[in-house]
Amino acid sequence: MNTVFQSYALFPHMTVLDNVAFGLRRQGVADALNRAREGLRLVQLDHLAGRRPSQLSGGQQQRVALARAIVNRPAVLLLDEPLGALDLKLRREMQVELKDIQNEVGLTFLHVTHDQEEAMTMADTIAVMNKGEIEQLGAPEELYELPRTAFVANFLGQSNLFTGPVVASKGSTIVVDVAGAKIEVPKERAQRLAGQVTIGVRPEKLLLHTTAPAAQSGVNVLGPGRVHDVSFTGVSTQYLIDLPGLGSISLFAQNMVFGPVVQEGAEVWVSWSVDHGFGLADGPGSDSSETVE
Amino acid sequence: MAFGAFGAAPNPGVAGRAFGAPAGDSNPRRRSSVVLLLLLPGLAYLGLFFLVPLVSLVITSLQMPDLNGDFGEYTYGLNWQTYPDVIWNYRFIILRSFGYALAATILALAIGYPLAYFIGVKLRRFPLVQALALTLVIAPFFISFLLRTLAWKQILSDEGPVLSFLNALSILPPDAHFTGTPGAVIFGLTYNFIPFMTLPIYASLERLDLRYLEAGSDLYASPASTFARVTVPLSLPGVVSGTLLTFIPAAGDYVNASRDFLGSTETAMIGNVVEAQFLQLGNYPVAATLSIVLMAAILLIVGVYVAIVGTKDLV
Repeated sequence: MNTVFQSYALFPHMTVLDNVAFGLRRQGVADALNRAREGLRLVQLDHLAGRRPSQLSGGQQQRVALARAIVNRPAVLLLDEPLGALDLKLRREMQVELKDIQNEVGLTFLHVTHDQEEAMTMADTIAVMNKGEIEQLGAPEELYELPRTAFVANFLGQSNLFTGPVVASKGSTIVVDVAGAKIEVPKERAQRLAGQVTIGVRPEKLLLHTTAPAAQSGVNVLGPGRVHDVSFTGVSTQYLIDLPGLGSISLFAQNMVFGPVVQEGAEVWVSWSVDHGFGLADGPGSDSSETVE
Repeated sequence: MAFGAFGAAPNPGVAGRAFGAPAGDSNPRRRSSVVLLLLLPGLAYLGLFFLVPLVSLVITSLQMPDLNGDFGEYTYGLNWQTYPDVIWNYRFIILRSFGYALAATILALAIGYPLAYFIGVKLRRFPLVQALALTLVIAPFFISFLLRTLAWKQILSDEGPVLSFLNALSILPPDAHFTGTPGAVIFGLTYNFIPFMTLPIYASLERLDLRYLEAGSDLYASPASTFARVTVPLSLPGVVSGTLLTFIPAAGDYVNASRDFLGSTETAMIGNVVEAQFLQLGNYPVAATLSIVLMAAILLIVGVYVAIVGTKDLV
């Protein structure tokens, strides 16, 4: 196993090439310098082989650190928050580049990060860890669409969570009474089927209505409520809606028209397909930790 | 920093750009005059107490015996012959001085580096103990250098505790003595310069980022290999200043090698000869010449040393 350190830890007294060749030389590899050059070519820095690390930019140093670890062909490469020191734009570029390099060299990357989006972008498998223990392990889509615990539901993206007793079981769904509102959740997407349960739905799965939608099977409807806050985020608009008895919920609406379609204080209803709900194994309320690929 | 700003001032490019600078940014031209003003006391001091004596020393070294005057009187002249004479006459003492200084520097490095490493790296987690250890390194400075050396003379003398103890154990022959030998002089030099070696090395090891060592072991280097290839090169600036701070004064030292302290007539160093020529024999040209030869030799040795070690791996 080799490591890409958060601080890169490139040896400041050696050239970039000597840094990359360090591990190969310690192992007594015969053509260490040639293989180090190959490693630098992989991260497209072979033209800077003679420089000192301090003469490189943060992104370049990051790539040298990566090359220095990769040239040893470890079974597992541990990346300890490798992109943490880079600015957002460079970080996005490096994420794509890291994935390309990983595909090229075919090594297993163990990527530790606090950036949930980075974890979801890069990982084949994510382990969400809380207080040293794995809360849930799975593909990014699986973790996002079907979180098992409140911690995962809130750590990867946002979730609207509701707690209440299961009052009925009809066919493939359970019905939960949340402060008088009946919310259906598919049985196969719920961890618990009886008693007090916490259920949730992702903000972008919600639809916003300015008139009460007609009740239909397979759709949960809440409302009326009042728009409490409207924030324009570019791709979408986030609405915070106060629902009497249910608290505040969050809703993402794609910006298909210019600007928000509903103003603050408007009376609205929200609905979502029953299939999008999920039921958790624990109650709401947890704190933060880190994710691992 | 001061020299950087000073050097930048005559550069028209820098000064020219400054005219367009916003009001809040101070004008480099004005700043440089402030720098000059601040440098003035230092420059005046150097001029008065370094340059003037140096010129005077060179003039003295070129004086010749006054043929009409008394013995020991000299007139101004250009007597270059003193130089080859002095170098030839004192060639063994010159070599001995640098030999002692070299031995003391190597010993002080062998003692000072582990000490500095221990204080700067291993004691990092205990700041209070670290501060205490540093104080202990500096503690000898609180007592006069002469007194400490004199104390060692007592301790190491034939009747002193060390030799009495060793004699009692019959380890040494009965007529063995330590003071007055080259070993005692080198011991004294080493002892007196250990703090000068330790502190600069400590300063560079104290800043050593331990993650480099972690990276070294991650890249298959053994602890010894990591030490040789990472720790030592990164502490080299401290080693260079420590060795210079030891070697230069040790080569010119005249206390340890003096008969009154740890040496004897057989251990005389250049400093002792200069002292004798200046203060006892009154032969100023020879003393001045010897001083200049010592200075030139040190400059040469240090120059070669820094050229080899200094530029190669310093960050």
